[in-house]
Amino acid sequence: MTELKSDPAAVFAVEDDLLPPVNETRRFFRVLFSRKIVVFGAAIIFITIVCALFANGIAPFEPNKQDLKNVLAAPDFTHWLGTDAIGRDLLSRIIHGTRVALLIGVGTVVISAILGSVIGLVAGYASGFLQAIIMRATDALMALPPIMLALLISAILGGGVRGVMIAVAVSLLPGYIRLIAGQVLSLKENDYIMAERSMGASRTRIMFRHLLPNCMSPLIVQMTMMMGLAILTEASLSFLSLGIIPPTPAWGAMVYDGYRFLLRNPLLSIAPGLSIMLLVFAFNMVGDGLRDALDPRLRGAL
Amino acid sequence: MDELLRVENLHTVFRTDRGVVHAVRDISYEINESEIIGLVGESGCGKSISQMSVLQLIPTPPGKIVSGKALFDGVDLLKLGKHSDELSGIRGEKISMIFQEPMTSLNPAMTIAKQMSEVLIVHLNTQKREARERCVDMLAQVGIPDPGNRIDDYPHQLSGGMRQRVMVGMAMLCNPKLIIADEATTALDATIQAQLLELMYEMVRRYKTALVLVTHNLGVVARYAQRINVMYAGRIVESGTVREIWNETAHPYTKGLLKCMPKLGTALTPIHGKPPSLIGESVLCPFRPRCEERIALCDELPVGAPTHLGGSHSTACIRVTEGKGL
Repeated sequence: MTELKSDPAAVFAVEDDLLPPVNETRRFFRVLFSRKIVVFGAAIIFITIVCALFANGIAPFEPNKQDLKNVLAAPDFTHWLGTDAIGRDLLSRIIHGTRVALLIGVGTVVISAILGSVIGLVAGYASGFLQAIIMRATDALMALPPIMLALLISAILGGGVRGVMIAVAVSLLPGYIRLIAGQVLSLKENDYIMAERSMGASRTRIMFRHLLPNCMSPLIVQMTMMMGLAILTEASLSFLSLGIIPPTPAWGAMVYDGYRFLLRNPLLSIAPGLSIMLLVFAFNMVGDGLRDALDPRLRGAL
Repeated sequence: MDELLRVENLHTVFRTDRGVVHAVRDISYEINESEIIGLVGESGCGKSISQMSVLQLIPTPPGKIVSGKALFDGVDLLKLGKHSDELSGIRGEKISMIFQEPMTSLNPAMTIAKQMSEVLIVHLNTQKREARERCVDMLAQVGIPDPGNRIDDYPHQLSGGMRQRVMVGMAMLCNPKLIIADEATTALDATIQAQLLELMYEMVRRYKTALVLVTHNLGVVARYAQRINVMYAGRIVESGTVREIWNETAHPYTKGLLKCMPKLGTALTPIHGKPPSLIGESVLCPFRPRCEERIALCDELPVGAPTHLGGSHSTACIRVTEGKGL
C-alpha cells in the first residue's frame, strides 16, 4: 500500500456541490399540503380551534340560555340552526361544543401517548419477564372493545370531563403500547444502538434519547388518527349518558337529546352529528397527510 | 511497554436450536499500551464476537460468556455487571469501538453535534457549549471540512466516508486507551478506505492509543499493525509480529490467507473447502479437513493453546510444534 495523501477537503467539496442541502421543514409542508383533502382537513381543524378559543365572541347566544317561549324552532335569521327542546340556540351550543370535543380529543391523546410511549419503550427494550408481562396485559386490554373499556371506566368514575378523559385515555392506551413496543423491537437491533451501548450510554438514555425520537413519526400519525377515535368515543359515552354531564354542551349528548325530536326537527341531531363527522374526518385526513410527509423514505427528497 | 489488556481463556457460546455454537473458543491474547494489533480471519471465525465479549456487548441470551478473564487496568471486565456503572464508565471512555457500517452506526434522528457531545456529557460531565467546541475541534482533526457548520448536519446529509470519520472522531473524544475498530473500513471503497486507515493511524499515534484492527484484509494489517493474531473457527491459530508472520509463516491457514492476497498479474490461490461448523465440542484441529500439510498426528492429538516458537511468535499447528520436538 502506497502513501495516499490526497486532500480530503477537496474531495468533499465536490460532493457538496452535487448534493444541495434540502430544507426539511419546507419539504415537510410541501408534501403535507400537496393533497387538497389534507388542506381541507387542516382548515376544519383550524376553524374548530378558533371556535373553541373564542366561543363566547363567535356564538350568537349563551349556550345554556333557555327561551321557553321559542322551543324547537325551525331555522330562521335569529336562530340559524333553530332551537332545542328547552329553547337553547343550537348553533351556539355546537360552537361551544368544540371545547369539549377538542379538550377530549387532544387531552386524551396526549395523556395516552405519553403513558403509552413510556410503557411501550420499557416493554420493547426490556426483554424476558417484564416484556412478557406488559405485552400480555396489553393483549388482554386489546381483547376488550375500546368502547366497552371506556364505558366500564366511565361508569366507575362517574361522568364529567375528567372521568371521560381518563376513560378514553385508558381505552386508547393499548394501541400506543403495541405501536411503540413494536417500533422499539426493530429499532433496537440497529447498529447505532449497539454503538451507543459501546460508548457507555445508560439504558434510560438509549430509550429516551435514541429510541423515542426514532419512533416519533409513527407516533404523531397515530396521535392524529386517535384524536378522531377519542372524539367519537366521547360522543358515544355522552350519547349513552355516561359522558359529559348535561348542561355542558357536548356534541354526543346533543345528538342524544335531539333524537327524540327526529321527526319534528331532525337538525337537532343531524347538526352535532355532522360536526362530529367533519372533525373526525379532518383529523384522519391530516393524520394521513402527516404519514406521507413524515415517511423516512422521502427524507432528503426534493 | 506496559500491558493494557490481557484476555485469558475467553470462551463465548451462543445457544441455538441446532446446538451450542462455540463462537470463541478459549482464546488468550494481550495488548500493550499504544500498540496496534491486527486480528485477522475469515467471516464467522469469531473476530467480532471476541471483541464484543470483552465489553460484554453480545446479546444475552442467546449469547453467553462461559469462562475467561479480561484484565484491563487490573480490573476483570467480565466480572462487572452488564449494566453496571463501572462497565459503562469504561465503555466509550477507556475503550471505544468503531463499527463496520458507517451508514447505520449513527442515529438518523440526531445531529452530529448532539451525538458526539453525548460521549463527553456522559463520561466527563462536560458543559454543552464546551462539548460542542471540543467536537468541532475533533471534526477538524479527522478531516471534515467546515466542521463548524457540518456539525449541525444529520447523518443522512453526510457521505459514508465522512460518517466513518465522525465515528473515528467520536471514538477519540474521551482520549481512550484502546480503540477497537471492528472492520471499520470494510464497507468503504478502496480510496476512502486508505484515507481512513491513514487517519486512524495518525490519530492513535498522536494520542498514544492502542488499536485493535479487526479485518479480513491482511494488506491493511501488514501496513499498520505491529503484531497479528490470526483466528480460525473461534481459535487463535497463530500470532506474532508482522515480520514473523510473513517470513516464518507457521500455520497452514495463515499460509493460505497470504496466498489469497490479491496481487496484480498473479492468479489467486483460494483455500478450498469451507470453515467448519462451530456447533458442539471439538478437540482436534479445526483446519484439518482443509489443510494441505496434514500429518497423521493431526487426527490423533487434540489442539491446544498456541505454542511458543520464539520471539513473540506462536502457533497452534500440531505439525510445527511436534516437528520441533516440543
